[in-house]
Amino acid sequence: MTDVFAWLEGTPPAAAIAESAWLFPTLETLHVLGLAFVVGSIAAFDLRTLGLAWPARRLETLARDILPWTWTGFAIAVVTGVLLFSNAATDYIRNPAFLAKMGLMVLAGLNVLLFHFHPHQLRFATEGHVSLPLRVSAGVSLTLWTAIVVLGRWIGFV
Amino acid sequence: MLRGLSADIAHTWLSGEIQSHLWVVPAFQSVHILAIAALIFASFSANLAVLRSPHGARTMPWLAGSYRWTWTALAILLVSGVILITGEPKRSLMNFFFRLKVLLVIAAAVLTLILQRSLAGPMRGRLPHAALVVLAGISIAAWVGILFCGRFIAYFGDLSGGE
Repeated sequence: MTDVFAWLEGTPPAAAIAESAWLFPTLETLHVLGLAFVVGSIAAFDLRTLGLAWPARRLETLARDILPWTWTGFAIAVVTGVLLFSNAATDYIRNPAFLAKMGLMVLAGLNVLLFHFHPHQLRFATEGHVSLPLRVSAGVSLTLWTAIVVLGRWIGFV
Repeated sequence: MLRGLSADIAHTWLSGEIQSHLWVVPAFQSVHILAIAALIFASFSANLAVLRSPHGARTMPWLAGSYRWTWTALAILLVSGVILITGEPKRSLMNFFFRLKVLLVIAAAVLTLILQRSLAGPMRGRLPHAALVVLAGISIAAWVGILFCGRFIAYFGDLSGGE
């Protein structure tokens, strides 16, 4: 498995990042921009679901409006994240903050699936009714994405 | 002047405390990034609504909420930013990209205020649609510029002369 990460570090994009002074900080900035779209849009939806923000926006409309933001941000964050990872894959794979961040992203993905396939989803989609399990899911999502941002910052410090 | 200020801040008790507790800087950087996420989403959604339809944006009931989020996030950014500057004054005050970032933040805040007052405040309807579109476009560019400057501080623009 270590060979795969070592190979990744030797690929042309990884070599270009290593040789360039400005490519890594530019990718980092775009990664933060993508993450801002993802976390900002998801937080807006979660806070509205919990009844803590955006009372003037209908939940169903908000859900439809934010989806392009979330997916655009996610695409930017994944592409830039993979490129940043390729630059020092063998180091990142041993970094506890990076591993915890990836683990929490998997949990956040499972939470999204839980929200969308929950039996109460139909009433949410048609009437905007938020049941207790959906509120719990929104709270869990907010906590997970906050932790993902915090762990992302700690990657450079551990 | 900023060189002297940087040295004075570095000798304060608070700066020493921040430097001696290694978790403080990454913790406040995390708060800073969370506030950036809230600000970027709130500000971009308002500005893009203006770009799509300046007339329609005036009638959107959620626009006031977007601006409330933008100002709240900006306040959190300023507080966490001041703490980060206190902990590492030379890294920030003696850096070209930090200074550019401050100028862009001031410009973006002024643009936000003008757009807010023109769309959902006392100046409602006074600015022509074309002006609103231009201001919203500049506002988006300013926030993206602020993001770039924020990251570039760590890599480029050192004006301290190696002191």
